Amino acid sequence: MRLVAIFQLCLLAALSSGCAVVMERPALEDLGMIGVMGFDYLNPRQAKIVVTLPEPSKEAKEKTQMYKTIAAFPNEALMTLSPKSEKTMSLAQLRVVLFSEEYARKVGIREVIENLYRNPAVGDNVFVAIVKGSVEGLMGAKYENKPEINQFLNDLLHPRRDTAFHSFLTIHDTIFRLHGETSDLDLPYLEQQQGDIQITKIALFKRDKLIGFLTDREGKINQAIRARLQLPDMNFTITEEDTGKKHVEIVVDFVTSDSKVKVHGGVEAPSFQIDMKIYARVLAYTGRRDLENPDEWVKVEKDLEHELDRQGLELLKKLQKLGVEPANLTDYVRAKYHGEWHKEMAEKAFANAKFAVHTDFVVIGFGTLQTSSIEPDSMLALGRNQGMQQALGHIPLQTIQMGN
Amino acid sequence: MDKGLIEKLNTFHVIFLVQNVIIGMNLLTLPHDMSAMGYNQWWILFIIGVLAQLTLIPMYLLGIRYPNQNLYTINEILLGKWLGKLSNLVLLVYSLLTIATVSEVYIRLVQTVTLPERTVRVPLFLLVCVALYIAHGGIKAVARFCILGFFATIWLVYYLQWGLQKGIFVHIYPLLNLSMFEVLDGLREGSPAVLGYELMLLYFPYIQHQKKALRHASIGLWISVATYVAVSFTSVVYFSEWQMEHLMYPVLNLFKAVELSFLERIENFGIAIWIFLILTTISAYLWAAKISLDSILEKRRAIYFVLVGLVVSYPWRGVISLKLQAFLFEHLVIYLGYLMVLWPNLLLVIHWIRKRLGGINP
Repeated sequence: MRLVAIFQLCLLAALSSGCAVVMERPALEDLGMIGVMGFDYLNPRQAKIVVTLPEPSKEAKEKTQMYKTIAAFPNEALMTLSPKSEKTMSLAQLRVVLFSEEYARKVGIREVIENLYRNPAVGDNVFVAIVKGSVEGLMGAKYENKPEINQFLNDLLHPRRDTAFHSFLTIHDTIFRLHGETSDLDLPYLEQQQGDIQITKIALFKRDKLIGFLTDREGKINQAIRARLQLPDMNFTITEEDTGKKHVEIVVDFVTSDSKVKVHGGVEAPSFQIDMKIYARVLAYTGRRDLENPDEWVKVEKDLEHELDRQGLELLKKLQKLGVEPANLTDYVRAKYHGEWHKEMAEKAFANAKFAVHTDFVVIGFGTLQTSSIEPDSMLALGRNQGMQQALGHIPLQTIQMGN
Repeated sequence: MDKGLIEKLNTFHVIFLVQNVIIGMNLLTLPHDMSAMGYNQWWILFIIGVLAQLTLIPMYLLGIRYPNQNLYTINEILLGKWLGKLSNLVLLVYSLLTIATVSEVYIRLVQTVTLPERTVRVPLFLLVCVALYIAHGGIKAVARFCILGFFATIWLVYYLQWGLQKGIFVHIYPLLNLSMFEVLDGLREGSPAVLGYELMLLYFPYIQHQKKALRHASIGLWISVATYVAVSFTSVVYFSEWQMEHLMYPVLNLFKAVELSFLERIENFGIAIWIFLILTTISAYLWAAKISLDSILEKRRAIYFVLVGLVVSYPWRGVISLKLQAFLFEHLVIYLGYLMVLWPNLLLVIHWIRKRLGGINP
């Protein structure tokens, strides 16, 4: 027992020495939590780095502090920024990393992302995005009707159904794809438009360099091929052959979507069979069909299927031409290949691939307004928030006969 | 306090002693250690589990033949006094090296992630102090702490679901994409993770239901293997091969994927909780080292704990060269572990021979 007492005494002595430390670790209020870090192109070796941090002080005029420096790496930037700030800069609350388009094209994003990934203080759920023009311009601008910019950008890039046309890539995902064996990067592209920040396009990457873009529509189809369960609304312009009406506008709200990819053939020239299954509600329809008639209803579904098949195939051919593959199709080739796999094999397989897209489009409802009471050519205005119980599956036609 | 040879470990004590001593530092680094296997690593762990199960049987058979002796005394009975003491010395070295390795890796992680502005010396000293305190209470205290450790940490498995949600399940294909040589290599890389059950022969005389000890130890072993497979499988779907190869602590990054509305950066929490798993492993080996000293010096004295603690926590690691450290902590400790796992087979053979010759009466 005496031994235990000696032990405890030693322990106490060791612990009490903690009070004597001269240089204390900064307390929470002394830390400047960087929320957004941006990289603008300066020269091949160095970048102009912009950081913003929320300013909690009530006396401060601005809600956000912004600092700029020139450095090669994030850590180096912290070093040179620290003397400018009254607080100890920390990357522990980093939420968003931005790259200017020029930087992403000329330098590539790999080194910066790897540098951040190596730092244990940085979380893995940090979103990555590309900016049109300069990051400094985007972050320095005033947005009257927006919350604090760190908060706003984080919320904007956070996974939401309405913006689910890009992959919401975080630092982890970016590293995953950069060093992955198959899929390429697709990052959101931010633009400043009339006092707003908007995700306008999707930036495509070959390895770590930006080489092209997808529109948000193409992004949605890309996500459908990637089997994302929840997709944002989408509009189609189709021609109804039998009724003879051209430019029929249909807006659909995807309820659930799924896709199955099958691969035939070897690594040299695979052929992909992509089967998409989509359940959706029609929100708006300007055609001449009578939607209460089950036969006509099926025709609308067929029109939509043809349109999605066509657009899916078009997208894949475009991607093949660009030589980038954000749809993760070659992973299915890899899954069938025995032996060592390299990224080059995926690139080669995708370049030689053939595609067949088949969509099974199920319209599960048209809303709650009787269609026959509306002029055939006018736009149907349908309740968006209704019919959620229909969303649970394909409900037989007679149970949702409208307006009887 | 642990004063004599009384049977005091009940069913749960045995299960969780085996289970929790196995899971120490290796789980944090396992997907990285087995990264050469790529996406096939998770099913290799099943094979490792089966191999461990097979080596558990001779331990049980030996233990049941010497119900009142621990491994050290069995060594002296079967091999003679001096040869027995020599092998006990080897086991002592093994225990010390294991403690040093486990505490070193954990403290280094804590230093990198949680306490970047401090050196490791003080945290290491405190860690060993706590482990000594637990081990000082005897094997039953260690076993009780193992039960506590299990329930304090098992819920972390829940947080794997974030990794699974984000993961790409196609990664598990193609299955069996390894040559025979690669499988053997995988076994070599992964096997150190299940070491820990070999201590069973040391606490075998304390077990209440010795006849059921094999079943209880197997339950503990397979809980550990199941945890390993779950973590490894999640890593396979969540990471790319490059990430598994380059991330030193993949489990840390699995925690980093977690997003909760009320809590952020849960990995800091995870590292702190992990100390339960480290403490159980260290304290069990401390206890093993202490009774090893008891048997070598033929005296039961509590001061041996302090001796052992000093050896493992004293910063002698700074004195020896890095090359020697790498040899000791990365190679020697594992080979000694294999030796200890296979040792009961040898003892069983000697037992059988000597029984045939009629010279033994346990």
